[in-house]
Amino acid sequence: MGKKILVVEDNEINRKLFVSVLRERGHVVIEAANGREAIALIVNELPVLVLMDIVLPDMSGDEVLRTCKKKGVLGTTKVFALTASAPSDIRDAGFDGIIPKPVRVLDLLETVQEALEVHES
Amino acid sequence: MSLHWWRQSIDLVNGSLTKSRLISHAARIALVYLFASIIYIYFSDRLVEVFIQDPNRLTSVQTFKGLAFVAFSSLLIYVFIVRKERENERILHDLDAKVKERTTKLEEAMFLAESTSKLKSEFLANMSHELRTPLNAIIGFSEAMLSGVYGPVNERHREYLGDILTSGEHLLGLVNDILDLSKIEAGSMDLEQRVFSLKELMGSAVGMFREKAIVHNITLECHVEDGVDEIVADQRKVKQIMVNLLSNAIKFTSAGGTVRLNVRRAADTIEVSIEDNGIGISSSDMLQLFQPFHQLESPLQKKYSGAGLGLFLTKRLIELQGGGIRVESEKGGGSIFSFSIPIKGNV
Repeated sequence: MGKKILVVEDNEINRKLFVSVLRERGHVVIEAANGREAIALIVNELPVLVLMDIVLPDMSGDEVLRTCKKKGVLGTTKVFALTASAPSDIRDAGFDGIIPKPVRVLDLLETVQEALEVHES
Repeated sequence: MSLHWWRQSIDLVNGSLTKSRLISHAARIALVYLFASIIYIYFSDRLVEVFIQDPNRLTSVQTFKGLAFVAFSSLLIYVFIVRKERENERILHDLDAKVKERTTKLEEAMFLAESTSKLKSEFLANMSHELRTPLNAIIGFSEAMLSGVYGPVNERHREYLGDILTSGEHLLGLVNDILDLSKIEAGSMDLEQRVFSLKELMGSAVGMFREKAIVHNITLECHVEDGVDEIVADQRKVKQIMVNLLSNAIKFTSAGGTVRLNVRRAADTIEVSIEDNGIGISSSDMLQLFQPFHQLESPLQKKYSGAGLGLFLTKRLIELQGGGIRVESEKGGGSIFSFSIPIKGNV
């Protein structure tokens, strides 16, 4: 059973991009289109890594992170922010890493690989 | 007591005006007093002598008359001063009301300006996000396919995917430049000043162009003087400035040419110059060089594409950090772009 990666992204096309490249590399990927779904999947599916969009329709990615931390459901799960904000607008809200959009696919795959290896060791 | 009070308070509001008002008022009282006294002294004795003939009585009446004059004139001066005092109190009161009214208006204007600027910043942040979101798919999918993430692609597909990727990146560059400029113009561009190694930054900026320089057969030299190391500035913006100037220098230099970067330390500033022996700039074009959306003469425009935002943005980014930029150039004789920024940040 491979380790699960959760992709949280409300834009359908961008979600398709992230999910497809990760699956091509053999990762097990689950997906959420809003904050509520994301929290439910983090609680029930225990993903190892979460790639989270910041601007979501129901709540912000920051809020999702805060809620999960408060509930204590994160455990060893690493949460990376995926953000389309201008680099000068990005403020750190306690994520394990920030991946700016537009995402460089090869960099993303490398970052994911590193995060999974860190988790393994 | 109250006279003293209004003098002080009015003096506080408008010193010179009040002083001249007081002097003219005192002069008027003195003049009236003088005039009344002369008339009184001149006519009163004669008048009394007409009515009283008994010399004993005349003496006592004359003594009483002097006392009465002093009392009467004192009363007169007192009335004058009280009247003036009231008038001044009224002026002070009006002034107070006016100050209050203006302050309220100013506060309203400030509130409006602040909320407008906040709205502008929010709009820009939102716009930035909306423009980047579709670019994520354009750049992401073309890059993924190009690098074979989804399996092999044939030569022709590879070429076209490369075109999509390059165009997407070009568009992203423009979007970033326009948004940065709008932010600067709206006054909502924040400086994130911190200590970093300028030497390292220069190395990595030049490193970004090594490959391009080799491909175009351009010699790329980098000389950072000893004593240039840590500075306080906005690292991301300094990098952006360097990338803009270096990419311009390489863009306008033909094969076999040289681009030379020099970094040296002056008293409180760092001086950076980027010298090329490219096509150069004519003196008439030099004037318009740092204007937005300006591209130099049309034959060049056809050969060298760009939105003409780069140098304008570069200038603004340098100014934002408390520095300045200048250019020396001659048509056909290459160009030197030099800028300086303070070592200890823009305070």
